[in-house]
Amino acid sequence: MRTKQILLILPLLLALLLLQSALWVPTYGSQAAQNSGRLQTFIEPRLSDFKLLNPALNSDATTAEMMDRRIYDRLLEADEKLDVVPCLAESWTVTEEAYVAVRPERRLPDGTPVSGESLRAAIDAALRGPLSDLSSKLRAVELAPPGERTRRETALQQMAGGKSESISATVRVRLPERLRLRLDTVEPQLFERLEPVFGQGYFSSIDVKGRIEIDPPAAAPAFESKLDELFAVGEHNPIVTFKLRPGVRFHDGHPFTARDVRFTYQAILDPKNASPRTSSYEAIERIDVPDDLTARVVYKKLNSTSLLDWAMMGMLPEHLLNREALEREMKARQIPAAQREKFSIRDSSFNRSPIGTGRFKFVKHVPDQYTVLERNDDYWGEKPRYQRIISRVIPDRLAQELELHAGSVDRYEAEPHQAARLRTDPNLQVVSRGEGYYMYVAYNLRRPPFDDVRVRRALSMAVNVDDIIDYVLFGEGKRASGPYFSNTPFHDPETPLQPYDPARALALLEEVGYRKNAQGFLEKDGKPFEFTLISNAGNPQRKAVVTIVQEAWRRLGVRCTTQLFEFPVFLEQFVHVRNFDAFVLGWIGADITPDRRQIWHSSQGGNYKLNFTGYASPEADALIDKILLEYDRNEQIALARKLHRRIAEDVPYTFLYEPSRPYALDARIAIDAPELGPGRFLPITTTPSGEIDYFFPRWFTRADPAAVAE
Amino acid sequence: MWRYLGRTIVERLLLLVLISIVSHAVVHLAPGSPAEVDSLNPMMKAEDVLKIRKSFHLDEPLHVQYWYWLSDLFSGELRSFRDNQPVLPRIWDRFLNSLPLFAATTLIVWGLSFPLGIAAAIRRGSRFDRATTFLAYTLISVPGFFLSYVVILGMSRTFDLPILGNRTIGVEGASAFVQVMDRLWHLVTPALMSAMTGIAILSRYVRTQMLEVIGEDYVRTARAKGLPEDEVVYGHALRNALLPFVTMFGFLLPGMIGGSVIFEQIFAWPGLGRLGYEAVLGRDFPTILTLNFFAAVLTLVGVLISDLLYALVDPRIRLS
Repeated sequence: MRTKQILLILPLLLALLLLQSALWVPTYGSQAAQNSGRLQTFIEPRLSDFKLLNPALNSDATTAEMMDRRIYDRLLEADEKLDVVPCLAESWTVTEEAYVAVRPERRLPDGTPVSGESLRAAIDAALRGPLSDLSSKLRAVELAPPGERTRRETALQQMAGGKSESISATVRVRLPERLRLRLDTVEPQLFERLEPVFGQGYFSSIDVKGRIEIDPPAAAPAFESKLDELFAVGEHNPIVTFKLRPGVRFHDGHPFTARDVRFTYQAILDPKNASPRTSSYEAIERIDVPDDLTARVVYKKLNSTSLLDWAMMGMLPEHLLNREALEREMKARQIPAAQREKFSIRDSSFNRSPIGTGRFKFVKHVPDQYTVLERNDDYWGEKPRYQRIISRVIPDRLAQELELHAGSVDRYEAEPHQAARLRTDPNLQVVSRGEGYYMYVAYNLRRPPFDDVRVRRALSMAVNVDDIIDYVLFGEGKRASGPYFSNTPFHDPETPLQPYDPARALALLEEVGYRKNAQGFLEKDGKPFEFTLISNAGNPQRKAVVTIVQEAWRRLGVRCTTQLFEFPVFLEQFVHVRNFDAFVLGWIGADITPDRRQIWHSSQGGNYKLNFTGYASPEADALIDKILLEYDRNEQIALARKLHRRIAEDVPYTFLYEPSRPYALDARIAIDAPELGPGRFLPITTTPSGEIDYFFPRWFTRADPAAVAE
Repeated sequence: MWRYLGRTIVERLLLLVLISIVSHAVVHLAPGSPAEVDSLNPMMKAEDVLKIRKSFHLDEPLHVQYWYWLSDLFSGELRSFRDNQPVLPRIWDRFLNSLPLFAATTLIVWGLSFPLGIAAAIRRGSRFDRATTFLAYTLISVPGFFLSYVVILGMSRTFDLPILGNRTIGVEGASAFVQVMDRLWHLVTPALMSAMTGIAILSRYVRTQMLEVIGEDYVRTARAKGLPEDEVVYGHALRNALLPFVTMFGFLLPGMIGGSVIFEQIFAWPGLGRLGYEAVLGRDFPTILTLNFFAAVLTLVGVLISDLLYALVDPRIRLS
């Protein structure tokens, strides 16, 4: 019977056809054996594909890993100890131009009316007296004629219904005659010191409304609270002058110059590009390019941490992305005229075939499959040992691990519970890397009883964090003591960890007025101590932490209920609108900057801002502000450490732990160390700050697996 | 027939518009904003977060946003929030990747289920029947992802064969034949794994249908007039048992989108399911909405096809 035969034969044929294909496929073993380039190739898995390979348009971690120190170079970089060191910039100096408005309506302390000349004379006199230490730093005092200054500014406007909107406007300021002081260093205290010379109250704020014109006028109310920032009697203009490394070329051979630095800045600020990095670069007034190898960055006001932005931003090639280049691209791609106006760097094909100055050249990208980078043999610095990097997208962790065992990827970022097993595999080496991440419990300080520091301290003391590290992280982590990561210099090593002491926790709560009732729960004035601890769902580690913390508090006599929400719901309905008692979350990243204004300054407590707890300490505010004004690195570190301790003592968070991530690598991979002697190498290690990729340029795969690392 | 076709197409177009409006509203009203609106990034000020929201038109009223999406979709200008790449070419690209997996899975499911189901039905109560029943329920109960891990482990450990992705990286230099075979091989495991539950369910279904039909009078009549057993089973019983499967065939089409999210994820297969999954995670509205839209189109087309097939297969049904 025909039908029967077909029904039997077809599946058989299908099975045969499919299975015979296995005969033709190269096995893992033969792939490694045939492919002589395998030893020169580093293959890494990643969970998802990158977005746009353009540092001005992206700030997500996956994409950054592909770009930083590979395709693009930055002007500066952070070294092993997170100190800022030269990269594309050979050296840099920080100087200042300070402006003082001439206020003819005032008189100097000796009675002479204020004019440009009289101010100058007063400064000259003071330099011989109380300000003598400035005389060596003050290069020149010049008179700047009145003029006009136009800037594009953004402000937040409260709308009806609690929503806010971002308003941009052109702000024109009619500048009076001003004195320009050129200084060799930044003097944050300059105006405070000049005040006795010019008369008390000289620098107090003046009515600036008449001088300011906002276009469109409807935007004016949004700027009402920012008027002082738009114009002040004394204005600091810090200037960072970069001397660029000569002879650096982009991958297409075009020389890298200071014009590219300026262009990168302009690309970030261009509203058409909708760059996520705008905030950091808005502090820049302009970038001058006196010659090809000098970039002079003039800032609008004091902000010592803005230098660090240049250690986080890859340099774009102007000649491939400026207006003419985009016009050419539009012509070649035959973009219809109607869309040409909107066409921006965001739309350019550059983002999918980038060109930088970095160690690796971009070769090929197959969406959601893999990306190939090739060594840049024209690189100005130390050349990487690997000839090629292949970055494969393998969205499943277990599949990644299996590929590592098969030898078709070289590294795998394991989960803590896998580390012990992976360590027993002789073909692998496992290194724990720091993650620049800490987990915490945040309390809503706006709600009693969390407004009482004793309550927060008691709750913190009741949690045994060491147990969490042992049983949830399998030892892959260490305790956090405060807001700075322990791998940074800003972390204060003297700050004590909150001890695990349930007895003292109970005593503290009794001091506040809580008493145990008949059921063993804490009560105050007949009201039980109960609240809800929330977090986001989908993170097993976090879920475990929530349960452990709940249990610890229950033992103390606190009725704590817990709930997990999907991440967007968690953020938008609870955290951002401050509708919570306590929640568990983590902070990640930004370990090179000491700036913590967004998270801890009392001005950031409003809805949708990042000071979730509503922490408001005048002392912490002052420290945060001072850090931004302090240009001396050691002073800055000292201030940051004070801030670390201040916040730790106020316990707005229960700081839990900083996890580390076990990083499994092929055992043959080592760090080339020719300085120790020919053929010598070191095992893979992290930097003191916990970073593993830092030494990547010197990584190589040993052909002879038997040799032992030293 | 033609009048029926005309009317039903108009009806379905209206339905499609309705579906697109509802799904647009659902996607936008669900909590969460695109990953690019990074409200937890201390490097961004609240002003800039709002500016990026604005650049995606997220502050406009829903109907305006719907209009933006629709006009961008039909002018081909629709771009992903994630990386600004045009959405349609990307979906087409992933569709071409998903197609072979979908085709292979379907072939395996339908190719194996019928012989298994029929054989079990004819030998009802036999050891074979009980074995297939046991197997079917096992396959339905064992989670597909678990089985996949076991198989990947076995394949790579025992046979040293690459499994992940839709081809071996670095095979580009080999002959065309080897490349085709390589692609075919990478198809085998994911297709087999995603077919497992399908085989279990469909073979049960075939068995039930066959049992029902085999008890009918006309089958007895066929036997009584002395037809060979094969002729009775395949010529008479099977034909009549086929009818319900026409309906199922229509519903196969939309399965192409999102039908194998789990397997595409595990096997690193760059297909539509994964595209949709990642779009949902990153709240990439243009991609989610467009995929939804095509899923709706495919469903409606599938139902239409099965309606037409019915009329073709079963002479008792007239379209009017």
